[in-house]
Amino acid sequence: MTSGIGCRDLVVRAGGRTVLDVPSLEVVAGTTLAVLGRNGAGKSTLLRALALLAAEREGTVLLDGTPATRQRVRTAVAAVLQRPVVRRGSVRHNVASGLLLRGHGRAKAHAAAAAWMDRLGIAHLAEQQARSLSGGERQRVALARALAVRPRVLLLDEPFAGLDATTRTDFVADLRAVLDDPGLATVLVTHDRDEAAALAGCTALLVDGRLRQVGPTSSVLDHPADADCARLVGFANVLSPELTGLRRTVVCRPEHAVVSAAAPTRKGALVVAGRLVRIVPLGGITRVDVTAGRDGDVALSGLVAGEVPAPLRAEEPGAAVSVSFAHQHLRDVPA
Amino acid sequence: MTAVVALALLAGCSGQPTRIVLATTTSTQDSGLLDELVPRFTDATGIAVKTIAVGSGQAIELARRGEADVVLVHSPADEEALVADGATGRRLLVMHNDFVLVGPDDDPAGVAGADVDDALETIAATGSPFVSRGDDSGTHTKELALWSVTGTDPAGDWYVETGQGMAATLRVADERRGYALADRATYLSQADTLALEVVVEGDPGLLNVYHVIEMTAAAGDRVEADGAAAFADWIVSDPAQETIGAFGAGEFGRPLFVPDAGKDLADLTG
Amino acid sequence: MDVLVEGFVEAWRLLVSGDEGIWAVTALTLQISLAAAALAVLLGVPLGAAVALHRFWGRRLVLAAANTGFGLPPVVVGLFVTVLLWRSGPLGFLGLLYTPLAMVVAQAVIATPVVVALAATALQQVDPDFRPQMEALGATRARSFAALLGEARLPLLAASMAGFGAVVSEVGAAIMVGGNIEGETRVLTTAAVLATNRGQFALAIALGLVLLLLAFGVNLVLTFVQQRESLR
Repeated sequence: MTSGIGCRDLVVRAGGRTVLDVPSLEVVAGTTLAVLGRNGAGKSTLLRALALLAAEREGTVLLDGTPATRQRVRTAVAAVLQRPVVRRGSVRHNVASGLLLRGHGRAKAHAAAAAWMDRLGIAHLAEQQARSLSGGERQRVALARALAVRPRVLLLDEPFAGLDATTRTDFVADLRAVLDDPGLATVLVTHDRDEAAALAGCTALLVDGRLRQVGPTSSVLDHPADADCARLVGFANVLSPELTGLRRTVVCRPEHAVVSAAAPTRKGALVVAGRLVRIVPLGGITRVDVTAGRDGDVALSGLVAGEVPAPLRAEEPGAAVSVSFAHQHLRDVPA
Repeated sequence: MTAVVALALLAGCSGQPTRIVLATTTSTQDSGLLDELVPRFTDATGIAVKTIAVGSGQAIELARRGEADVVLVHSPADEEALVADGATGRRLLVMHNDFVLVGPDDDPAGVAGADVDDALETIAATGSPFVSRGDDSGTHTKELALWSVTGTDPAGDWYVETGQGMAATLRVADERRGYALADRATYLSQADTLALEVVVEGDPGLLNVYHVIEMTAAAGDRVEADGAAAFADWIVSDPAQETIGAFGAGEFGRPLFVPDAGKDLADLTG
Repeated sequence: MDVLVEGFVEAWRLLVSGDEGIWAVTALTLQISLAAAALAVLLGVPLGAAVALHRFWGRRLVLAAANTGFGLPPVVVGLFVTVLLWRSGPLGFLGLLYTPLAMVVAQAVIATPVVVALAATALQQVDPDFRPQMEALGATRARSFAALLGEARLPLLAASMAGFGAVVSEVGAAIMVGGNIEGETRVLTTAAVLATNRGQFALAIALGLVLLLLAFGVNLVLTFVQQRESLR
């Protein structure tokens, strides 16, 4: 195996439950893997387990293909946990602390810290108390601190959580530049598929502690393996065979679902009848929620730029509507 | 730093010449006599002394358990009980001073100059405030013995027990303008800050007699019997007795103690 | 009232004239109480850390016991230690009764619960993810623990000061276990008690003032260290 991090038969239990069960995973140096999942899916658990921080862990963590000891992980891996933990002291001291904790000398640690503060745009904050920084600045400090130790494996737990849109965009851009390192294997935990798309070559979908799908980001995001994965990557409309009469379940994004008052006959589109639930303007786009199916228990939604067409706007909740999905936007899923 | 201090302290208390533990009473220590006597003993014999000043009762109990090697107390009944236990060596008469009955300068009970038992009876009868140490000390034991001679059981609002040492008890008596039994030495050392005066003195019943009792190995494995014997020998010897006889003369105009080594108890007068 | 004034005057005189007796007693007070406080910190901080950071059976019992220990009457501690160190006691063979070392031990017993309770609180206030994050950066368990202590150094220093304060001013254990022997185990508090018993009130007050000055001095040094840290 080439260099990088991985695991084999990794199982983590908590309070009698199995919260993580990953038979195998591999992240090669020079690549970034995004781990996508809902809150509580076990993403942080996976990250901590890879860093050998999880308490009740079974199975093996692999470093460069061989079972990793604590010692090797300490040297090769750096992780940035959720909610950046900063120490008392200046930003400079914080960024240097990774190296200081590893036993390097002050001079060397501070020199490396200076370089990384520059790269992540926080050099101007060097003498400030780390605790007085804003969320975005703290994230940069935590990241600089982890990168300063020159790890071969970088584990990031939701580095963009709690950041406002502008800060996030800047940070994503800077992080992208930093992760472009042939010697670095990165695992990025997130619940946002846009971040996965921006930063990771591969994506893994984690549902209830199990990896349901792993592959190149573009194909994972566009061709989900099952209904849960589909919902995870934004295919909110899951259409079962009972609903459509097709042989397999198909899924479609709300952006590609067209809700109309009349029953269109459109070629190359799948049409489903339903009842209108609500129309919600969301500032620039409008969301339309519909129920469908024999018992009205299937929730569908469409997303439209601007406002919905007039005929639909006039309809009351409960009115009969139809939702059409162009074939090229449908995806087959096995289950 | 702790280690250094600990080692230094530990080194300091091992490998020394004989040390004995002398248990005595707070009033004896408070008089200051031991500050004069004990260093002279150490100079003369090379034996170091740890002087532990506690109440008579505790001093005797320590001796009984073998925690003290020699006692110097003034509580005859307790001393005799200790001797009766059979673990003691010699019990030698060392010195005496006297107790005095003190009271407020206006003497509301009118007992000045009376015999001590009459005075106590009058105090009880008139319900005049009386402050007792109430701490099983030699003084307290003496006080209770005097009450029992009068046949009166001291009890009532007028009788107060402080549970404390002589000086504190005198201050309470001062505050409450009441009577108290005190050893002369402590009274003298405090007299200028108190409004109390001596109302009864010189009564034979007010003698405060000090004995030294040496303990033997029968009281405990670690008793320094030889050192104890050396102390007992020394304190009844001429140089020690001279020191005792001169103590306090300069400060109070009269010596605080009367050296009695070798005398018979019956010979003692006030 | 004049006794107080006399006391101040006497305190000044004793200090300025370099009275040997006072300096010896003061030095001994400092040695014993500092050693006891240091011992209490050495024992109490790890114990406080264990209580703060680990879930073990009986954890809350230990914490409650520590908080109770706060109010332990020094006399009671003195009594227990005395009985242990008696010639007839289990540790009698050490011959430690009525020595400064015995006083250090008794005072350490008094100060340790104080340090445990305050150290536990101090460490609980640090982010629970602190140690994992430090270890995620490559720190060994020992180093991450040291970093944790450093993170909580302000309240830990306060805990140490509290431990010292608890023992420098106590007299119950000092007198029982030390015996108040001149030149050996007489400290400021026990000397003050003796002076009071002898009716030497001005001296007693003077000794009390010297004690206050001593405690103030120690706390001043520690406070400077603590507050300098907090400004960094």
